[in-house]
Amino acid sequence: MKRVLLPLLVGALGLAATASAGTLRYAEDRAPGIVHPLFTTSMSEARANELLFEGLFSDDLQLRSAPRLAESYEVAPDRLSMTITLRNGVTWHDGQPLTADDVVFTIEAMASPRNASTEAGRVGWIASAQALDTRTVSLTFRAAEAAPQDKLYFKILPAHLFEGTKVERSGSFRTRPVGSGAWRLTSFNDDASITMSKVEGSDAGLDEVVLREVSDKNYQAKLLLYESLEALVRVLPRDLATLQNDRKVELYPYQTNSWWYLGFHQDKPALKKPEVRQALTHMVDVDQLLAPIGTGDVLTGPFVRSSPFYNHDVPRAPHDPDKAAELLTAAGYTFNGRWLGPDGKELTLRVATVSNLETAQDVLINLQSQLQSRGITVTPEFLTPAEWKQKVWREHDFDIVLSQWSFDRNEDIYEQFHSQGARNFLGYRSPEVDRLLDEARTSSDPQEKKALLRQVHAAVAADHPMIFLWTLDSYAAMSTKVKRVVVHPFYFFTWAGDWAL
Amino acid sequence: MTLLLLCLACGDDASTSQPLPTPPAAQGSYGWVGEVALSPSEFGATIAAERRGWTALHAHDYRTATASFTEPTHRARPELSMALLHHDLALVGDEAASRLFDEWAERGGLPEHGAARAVAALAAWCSGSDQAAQWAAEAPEGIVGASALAAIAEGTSPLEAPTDDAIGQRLALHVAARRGEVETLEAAQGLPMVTEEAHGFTRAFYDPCAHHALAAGWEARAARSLDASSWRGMRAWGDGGLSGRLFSPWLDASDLLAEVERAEHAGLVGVQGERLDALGLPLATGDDPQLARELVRSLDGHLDTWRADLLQRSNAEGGALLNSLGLVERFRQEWLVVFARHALHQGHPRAALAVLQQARDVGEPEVGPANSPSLFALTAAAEIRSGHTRQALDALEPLSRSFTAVRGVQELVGDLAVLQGLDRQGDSKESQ
Repeated sequence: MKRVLLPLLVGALGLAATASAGTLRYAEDRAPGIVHPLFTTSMSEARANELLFEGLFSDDLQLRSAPRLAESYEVAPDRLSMTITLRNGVTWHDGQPLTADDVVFTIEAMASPRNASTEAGRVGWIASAQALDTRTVSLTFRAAEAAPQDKLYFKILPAHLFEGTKVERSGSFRTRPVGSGAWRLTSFNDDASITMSKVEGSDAGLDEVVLREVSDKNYQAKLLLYESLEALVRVLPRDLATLQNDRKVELYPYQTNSWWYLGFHQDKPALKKPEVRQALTHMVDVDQLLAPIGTGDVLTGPFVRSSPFYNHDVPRAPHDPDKAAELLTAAGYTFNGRWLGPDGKELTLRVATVSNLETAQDVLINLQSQLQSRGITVTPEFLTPAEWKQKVWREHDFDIVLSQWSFDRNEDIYEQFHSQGARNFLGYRSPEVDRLLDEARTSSDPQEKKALLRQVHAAVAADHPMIFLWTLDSYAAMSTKVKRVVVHPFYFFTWAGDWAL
Repeated sequence: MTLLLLCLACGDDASTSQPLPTPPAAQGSYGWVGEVALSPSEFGATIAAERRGWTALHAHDYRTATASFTEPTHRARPELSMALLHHDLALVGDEAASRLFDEWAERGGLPEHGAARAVAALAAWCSGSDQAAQWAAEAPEGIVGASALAAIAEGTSPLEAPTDDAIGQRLALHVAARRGEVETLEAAQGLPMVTEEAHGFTRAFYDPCAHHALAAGWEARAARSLDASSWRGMRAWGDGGLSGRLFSPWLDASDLLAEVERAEHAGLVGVQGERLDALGLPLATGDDPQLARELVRSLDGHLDTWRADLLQRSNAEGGALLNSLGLVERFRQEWLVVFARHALHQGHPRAALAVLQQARDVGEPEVGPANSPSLFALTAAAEIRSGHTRQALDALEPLSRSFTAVRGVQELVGDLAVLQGLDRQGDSKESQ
């Protein structure tokens, strides 16, 4: 049966069984709704950015900062400023020269509150940027910086395609981006795929990179085995053994310090009360939610278990419906077969997740069933990527979200848990956690930073802003036809210029 | 399941296994893998008396295996495996400690007071670094472990100058461990060697030399079990039939004996086996991950042929053993781990990492029959040497669930990972 279905599926998805030589076709669970470095919120967008855009610096193979658009730099003796000279002869994909004005524009556009860039936090440490000539930029900092180059990874945008520093999220750039990377976006296709072609003169080994959205993860592995794809960014744990045993496929660890969570909107009346959040934590059977996805490590806080910041002393909240009932009663709720709030209305929760990610849908339906059986009504909301950005990121129009965060090797959770964090759409506010996060950010002692963030773990776990779910062993899979592959541990494609088919 | 299958092959009536008419040359070319699959009765007879020990060894549960084996030459197998695991962990610790203290001092901020410089000196001393004396000389007056530091500064062993402070007490455990009395030091390694109150937190330093002492101690125990003066006593396994090679990276006795003579280290025995050499594997990978992956693919091609041939020629019992004990996969991983260790010794961390990534059974997240503890330890060492410190912690996490003594190395590597990220701007995204 499956043998018959798969070719049909391949056809239906528009996936050619063979690609032209030099074309890498890779699967994402969800295609980026937009490709715009100023408004990047998801890993699929970040990975596409990595192919299309460049930063002043990027990681070399040893994960040391290496100049990318920068050719050289000099930090002032007081560490309060630096001068950067750009590489000569770099052009944008539209042929315009890349200049110091583009760097200044990008920093100012990211920092400008009216743009509400999701990346604003990445330039907050820069006090001012000035173009000294077409290839030279001067940056001044708000405080002394030991290694400012380590913070200059954000992607540079072409100033000439925008008016002033106002950048509209809905502008045409989001679907017709112009970068300076080795590949240019040639088509944003109707089937939610994106085609990127090698820029003339680039020495990249891949002629073309095609991003395909394959939201049904059950088929991603099959498409790779059927040679209708060359790469999967994330393999479902249950497919790992099959792919590892196939001689035409190789697996690459791709952890991204990622964890799943159920986040409570803490400005919603019901969820403002910590007792209610804690009750829900005890009511949900996390192991049962995880089982259909595969094996994973259940977490007690906002770090993966291998993190230096993970606090192993924080106990796991047990699945305990009786305790949950006690807590709801203490919070003024009554039970008559359904839980009724202090206002007499039935406790109903809208839980949002993305519409085209099958694993998340399975978890949400399972959650709905669990809470329903305990007397709480759950209304699932499956949002498209555009709706997700609108309702979750901008309007905060949800009760609970089911989602996942990925972190680079810094595992900096400031943006998610600080009251001023740009990714804190749950509205979590704790003066104690703010203080600890602020101190951790400025600490120059690794052991102190570790201790501070372990305290954050404990404090956040006690506040129940989320039900911390799990982390999964995460691997990418690649056809053996793709040579010289080294996967960046976060951005994936940083070294894709060396890959070849 | 494993135990069940081991029992399946070694029931009370071993005569139920039918010997197969196997061409001796072909059987020999697959080494112990072929011996088990084609002569399950011989396998049954080998493990019959010490079934619990062999089951534990198959599961990479060295502690249980050591406690279970009564025959000394058998017991030496898990003892030497423990020595190699600690040797691999020492490699991780050495890499992490030298980078941590060097980079911390270079960027400024290494605590002037307290035990930091004493621990740096100890770490440098046990890894054989020239910097040991310099660290010791820079340590402030009256520091914990002062007499040990004085010895290091003078170029003598700190183990000969134990004092009664926290470091001295820990070093006294080293002396005992090196004699083979490893238990106390192993238990202590899950706890800090020195703690001191800093600004609002408790600073903790773990013993950077414990795994060196534990490696030496387990090696001494293995040598004693083999009635020898060093690990080279493992040549005795060449006389012991199947038990000397079962689940090992060397295929047969002649490979073992040849390599014991030429290997620099017990952990490298098996890497240049003549049986494998005859396959013409592309061993010259240098530090090229692509070549390393091609080496693994080449090996897999041969092993697929072995598996198919053995399945065709084995009886039902032999076929069941081959599949359920994962005999081919076990040899594959044992050999790839030794190859990776060799690559690290050669200064080829990226090739080692590529091999180890391929060697791991990703369907099994824990240490167990499918994944050895050294696989995880060496992966961590290769990650650090490749500059991927945070990824080393991912490798150590599964190991820590089986070996609490790994805690010290985890904290050390964690300190380094945090230090290396202090100046970076962190990035996060939704995972989709």
